[in-house]
Amino acid sequence: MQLLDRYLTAVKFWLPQKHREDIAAELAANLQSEIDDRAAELGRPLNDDEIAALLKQHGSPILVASRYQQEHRTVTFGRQLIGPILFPFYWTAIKVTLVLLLIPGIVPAVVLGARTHGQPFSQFGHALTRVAWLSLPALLIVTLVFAAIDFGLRKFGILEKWGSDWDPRTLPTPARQAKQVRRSSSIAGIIIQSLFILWWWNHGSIPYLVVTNAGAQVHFAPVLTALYVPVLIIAFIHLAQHWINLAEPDWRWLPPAAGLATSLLGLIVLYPLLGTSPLISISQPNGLPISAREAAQIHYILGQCVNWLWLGIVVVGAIYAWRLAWIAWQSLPRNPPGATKNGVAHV
Amino acid sequence: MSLDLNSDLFNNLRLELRRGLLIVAVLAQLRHEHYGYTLRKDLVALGIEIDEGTLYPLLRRLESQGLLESEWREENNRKKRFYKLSREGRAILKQLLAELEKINASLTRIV
Repeated sequence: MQLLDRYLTAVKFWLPQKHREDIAAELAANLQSEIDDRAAELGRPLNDDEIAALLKQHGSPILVASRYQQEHRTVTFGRQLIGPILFPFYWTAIKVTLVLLLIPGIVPAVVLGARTHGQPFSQFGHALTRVAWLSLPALLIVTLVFAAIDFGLRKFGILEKWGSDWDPRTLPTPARQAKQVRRSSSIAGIIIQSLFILWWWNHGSIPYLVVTNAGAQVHFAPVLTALYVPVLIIAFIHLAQHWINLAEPDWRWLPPAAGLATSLLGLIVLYPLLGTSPLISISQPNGLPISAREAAQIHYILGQCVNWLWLGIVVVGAIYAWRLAWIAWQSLPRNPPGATKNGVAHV
Repeated sequence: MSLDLNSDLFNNLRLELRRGLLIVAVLAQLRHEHYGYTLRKDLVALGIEIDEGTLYPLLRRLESQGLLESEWREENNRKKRFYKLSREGRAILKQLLAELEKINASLTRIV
């Protein structure tokens, strides 16, 4: 029954967390009954090829799991834009996008408002309005991206091709699947990297809602413009890694490999900036001027951030290198216990 | 219009037609308790073709709508989830069958 276990583990990977165990147990009972029934007809247990054929007929894990998505929700605007298979991923993306916009958009504004003018509630209101305006294009972009993916899947029949080319015998063992890159981690990574790329693409000024309530805008100093392309490359490497891991969760060597590569790139790029000043410039287009003391504080904090960032990347790079080495070590072929070079076991 | 398009169109219309009828068939068959696999076998034996990928999720959906109730029980040393019509399901099935009969009678007159 190893093949059935591998299949059920793969289906579980795509099932909604809340009903995962229950659905898998029911599916297991039904498939087991079918296997028993066919075995009774043949008068012998099914072999692996016959079980594989039965599982293939049942459907690829992602398709089977997609049918269990609650309520078959879709996004429709005249015609269906996002179907029930992609909808759960789309809904997760929308929620993560909103959280990513709300937390950095509102919390600092309220904290700064409370510290400088004692008006956290009015700051909260202003920040909320700004976040709402920022959210509209962000949510629209997320929706368009998912609609394009859905269109591509339907137009080119990718899921059907995936289903027909799929072979249950290629599924990894449950133990190996347990070590796969988590789906939630890949989806969160895709959303975070996409939003970051969108922001960085237009990085002329740090979004003012993040930094000051006095109308001043904080810009990157010219020295930091050298970071533009390398940071974009780093973000695209991570974005590609998350997409690949969403399709190939078994490639668990990829996150540490990408992390190590981008850490090294980050160290090379950041090194010339250590001790460089100023890293930012401040302008007050229409608001109250920011005091020299506050400006010096921001300069100091950013300088420290660069130092700590460099140190952080060294540590993170070392962790990635260790993880990569560990995965490589685990993947090395080994002789079975007790075997010798000549294949003769010690007694 | 090409033959392929005709056949796609027919398949889509056929799917739409079958979708509602399958629900009626499943509800009617669950007047007696079944678990997923035996329900499918019985439906196929009665001439209602339905694949597992459609039936098993459908059972859970009908249960979440209150039309079915289920319980896990052991049979032949294996735990299985048995479904049967709920009281609300019985009432709805009665209405659906009456509706189906009306449509069928009208269609017979038209065709």
